[in-house]
Amino acid sequence: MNTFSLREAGRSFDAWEKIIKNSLDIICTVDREGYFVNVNEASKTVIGYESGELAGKHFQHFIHPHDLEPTKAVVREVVKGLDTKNFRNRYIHRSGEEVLLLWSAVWSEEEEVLLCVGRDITEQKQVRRKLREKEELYKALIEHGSDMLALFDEELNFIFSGPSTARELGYEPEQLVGTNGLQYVHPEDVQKIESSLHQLLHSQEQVKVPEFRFKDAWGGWRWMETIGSNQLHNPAVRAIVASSRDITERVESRIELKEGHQRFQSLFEHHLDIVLFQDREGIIADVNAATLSYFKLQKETLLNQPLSNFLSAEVVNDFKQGLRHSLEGKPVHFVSFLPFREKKQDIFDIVKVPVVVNEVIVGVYCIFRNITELIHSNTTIKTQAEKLNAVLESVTDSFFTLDRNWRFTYMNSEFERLVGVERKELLGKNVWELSQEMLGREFYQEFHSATESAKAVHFETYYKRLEKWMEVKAFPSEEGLSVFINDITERMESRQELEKLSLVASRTTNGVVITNPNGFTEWVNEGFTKLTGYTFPEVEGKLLGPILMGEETDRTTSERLAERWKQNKPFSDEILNYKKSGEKVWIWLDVTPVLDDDGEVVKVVSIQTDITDRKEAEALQLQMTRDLYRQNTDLQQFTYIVSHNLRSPVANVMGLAELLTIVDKNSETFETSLGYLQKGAHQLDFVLRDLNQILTIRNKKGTTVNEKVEVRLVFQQVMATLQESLNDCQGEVNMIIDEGVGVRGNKAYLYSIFYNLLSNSLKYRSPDRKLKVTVKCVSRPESEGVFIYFSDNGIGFDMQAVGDNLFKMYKRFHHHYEGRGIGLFLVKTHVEAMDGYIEVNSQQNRGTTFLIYLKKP
Amino acid sequence: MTFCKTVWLIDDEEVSNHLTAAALQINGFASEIRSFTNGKEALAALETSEKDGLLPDYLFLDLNMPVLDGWEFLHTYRRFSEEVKKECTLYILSSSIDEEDAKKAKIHEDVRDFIAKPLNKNKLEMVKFQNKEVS
Repeated sequence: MNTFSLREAGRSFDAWEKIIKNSLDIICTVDREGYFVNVNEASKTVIGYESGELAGKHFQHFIHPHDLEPTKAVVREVVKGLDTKNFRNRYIHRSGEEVLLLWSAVWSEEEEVLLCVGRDITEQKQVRRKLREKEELYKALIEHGSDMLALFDEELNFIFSGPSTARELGYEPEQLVGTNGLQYVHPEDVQKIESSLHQLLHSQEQVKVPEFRFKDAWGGWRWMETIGSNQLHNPAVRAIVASSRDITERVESRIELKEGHQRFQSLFEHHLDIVLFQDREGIIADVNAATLSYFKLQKETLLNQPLSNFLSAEVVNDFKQGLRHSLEGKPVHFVSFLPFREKKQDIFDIVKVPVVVNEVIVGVYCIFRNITELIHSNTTIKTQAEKLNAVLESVTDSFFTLDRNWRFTYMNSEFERLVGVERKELLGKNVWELSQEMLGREFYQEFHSATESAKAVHFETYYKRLEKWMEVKAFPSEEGLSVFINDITERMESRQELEKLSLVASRTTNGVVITNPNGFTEWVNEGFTKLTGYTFPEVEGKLLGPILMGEETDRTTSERLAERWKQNKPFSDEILNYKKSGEKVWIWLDVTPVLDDDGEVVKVVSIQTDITDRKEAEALQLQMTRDLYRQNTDLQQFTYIVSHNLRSPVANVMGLAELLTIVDKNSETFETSLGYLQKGAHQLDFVLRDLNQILTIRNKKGTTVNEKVEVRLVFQQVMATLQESLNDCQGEVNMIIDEGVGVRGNKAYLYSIFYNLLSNSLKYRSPDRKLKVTVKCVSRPESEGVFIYFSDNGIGFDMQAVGDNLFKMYKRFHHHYEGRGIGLFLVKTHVEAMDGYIEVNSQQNRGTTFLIYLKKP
Repeated sequence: MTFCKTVWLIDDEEVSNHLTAAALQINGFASEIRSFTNGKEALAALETSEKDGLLPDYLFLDLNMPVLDGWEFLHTYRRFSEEVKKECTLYILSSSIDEEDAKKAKIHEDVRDFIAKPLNKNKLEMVKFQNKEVS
């Protein structure tokens, strides 16, 4: 206080006074009893009373009645010397409002007053209340809001998780707190979260993570949208605040929408049929790939064109009507033949589907299904069915089908005829409704057996009503039973006939033989035994040919029989057989193969008739005919000789004689003609001699030719005669004739034969090579005759050109060679006069070979 | 002046050809006579002549010949063109006195007539008559 001057003290007092005066808080003094002594001006603003109004008044008039007693108690306390700094009570403002005041008070012993400072804390309290209210709001929001709130540290570990998370995702807060948030994030979205976190930590306070998948407590993925706020630096929070919302429904419906669109696009684009979109005016707005490939056009060519541009004139109206109906919302479905102008051959099934957007039809999808093949195959199936029907109708068998319930499903007209009932009356009817008389007795049992065993049945039955035998075949199948009925009356009758016939066969005098198809004997009758001397046991199971045929059986006949046998057709023929005794017997054979249903031979029946007498008569007749024929030919030949060969020199002589009378006796022609006249006369003579010779041979035939003629000897004589000519041409003769081999006949004839043949060989030798003649005589002891082969290497002749003229009289085949054409005629005449025959074989420029057959003596 | 220009004889017999040729000459029938001893040669010559345009006016054909007889010759001759047949008149000249031969020859379309040997003035007169130009 020493330094504290009065002035300073006075100034200090003034300062305090100002402070008090201007203080916002009420500063006042109150006596022990509770009466205000001094009050500053703040009372006016705080409780609405001037300081003068308060001085000398008891505070009880201004305090809220509820707070009066506590206030009095505090006053008593303070008077006792206890300071108070935070006593609260309520004053009633002049306006009637409560004013909350916070008091600090101290007792001043020297002044004997309470020094009090009161602060209006009404507002503070209101703020606090508001604050509390706000907290509760947040709490409510956190607890009941749909957004999920969570707090994370900077590594995204859960610090806090709100209750709505438990509700929405199923995780209780304690499950999440302490775990890392990323572990719940879909692997594909982790990156997204990490980059958002990075932004949040380094550049932005708030980040929105648009879409990511978060695993819920039940293992499903949920689409989330999260707003993250970096509050790490906020001392009140110190965390990343994340508010998330489940947007699964939204995302899924969006994805679904997208997929739906893609699905549609794919369906449209890859549709195998032609699909195109027309707007309301019929303009093509879109087409799919099938359309382009069908028309082989670019998309641009088709788009924005009316569909009718591509249609043929005939169908344009159909399509217009279709479009109109479709736009009216009516279903449109029709078939159009040859609709496209360029592609006339196709047939389409067409559907028009309207497209509705916001309840308005904006256009029409047209789907063209190409059904050309379908139609064609349908047509084919139809024609095939018709054909099948025609086939079944044309089958001469009766035919019908039954379903599993024995009902008629089909029958042909033959069956109608058989049962005498019309088809329309029978179809769908049960087969057992037909009377037994209609079907016959065996049907019931047999049909049941067929269906039960699933095996075809086959039986024969007699139709009393029709007096006919029927063969029935029934084939069971999945669908039921197919039945064929065939009239076998004829076969049955022939079978009975056969039975009767076999009875006859066993009694007949003709031989009857039954063999199997290969010719092995199965049965013979008594007639056969009488005819051949062989009994059944002797021939059973054997081939008859080798047993019955003998030496004189004609080989060509037996071969012909074998050939005809193979043809499986009935035939007749005759053959020379030998009886067991060796006696010859001529047989007339009637061979009939017996066929089964399939045309296979099961047996062959041969009937043998003895025709020996007839054959002998025939042989005699044949001989007579031959003689007659030869004489006739001879006569013809004689006519020919007379008319040509005899007449020719006669004509010459006549002509020359006439000529000689005309021409000059000294002319050259006269000389020549005279010479020719002489020649002509000689020629005439030759012909007459030839004729004589031939006629002589013919007449002597069969009477004078019986001596034995040694072949070798005769040929040696001929060789000797022609030796000179042979030497001239250095010809060579190879004679292979055994000594002593003889033939029956006339020596002069054999001489003539050899002479003529060797002369011919000499005459017609080849100029290119030396003549070589071979004569070979073959005499086999078992044979009745002798074969003489006479061959040369001469010029030969064309067999085809010569034909049967070779051995004819006065036939000549070579120019530039002398010859009358009588040599080979004589050879043949001589051979035949000795009961032999001659054959020839020749090749041009290779040589000629004669084969002569003569009888042994 | 002979009746015609060329006559061909087809006959293998030398004597007959000599006689026929003499008859033709003496009776002034042809100025050129050519003889063939067989049908084959005659056919070959005919083919050549057809090409050269030098066909004979008359053919006298014998029936009885080796290699190719008269009938066989006719069989081949049938195939010749109408021009040839128009140009050449064909007679059978044969020693045959067989009625059958004459009948067969007369009905043959390519044969004008059948003449029995020997050929003489009277027979040639008949030939001339048969082929007289109608004026």
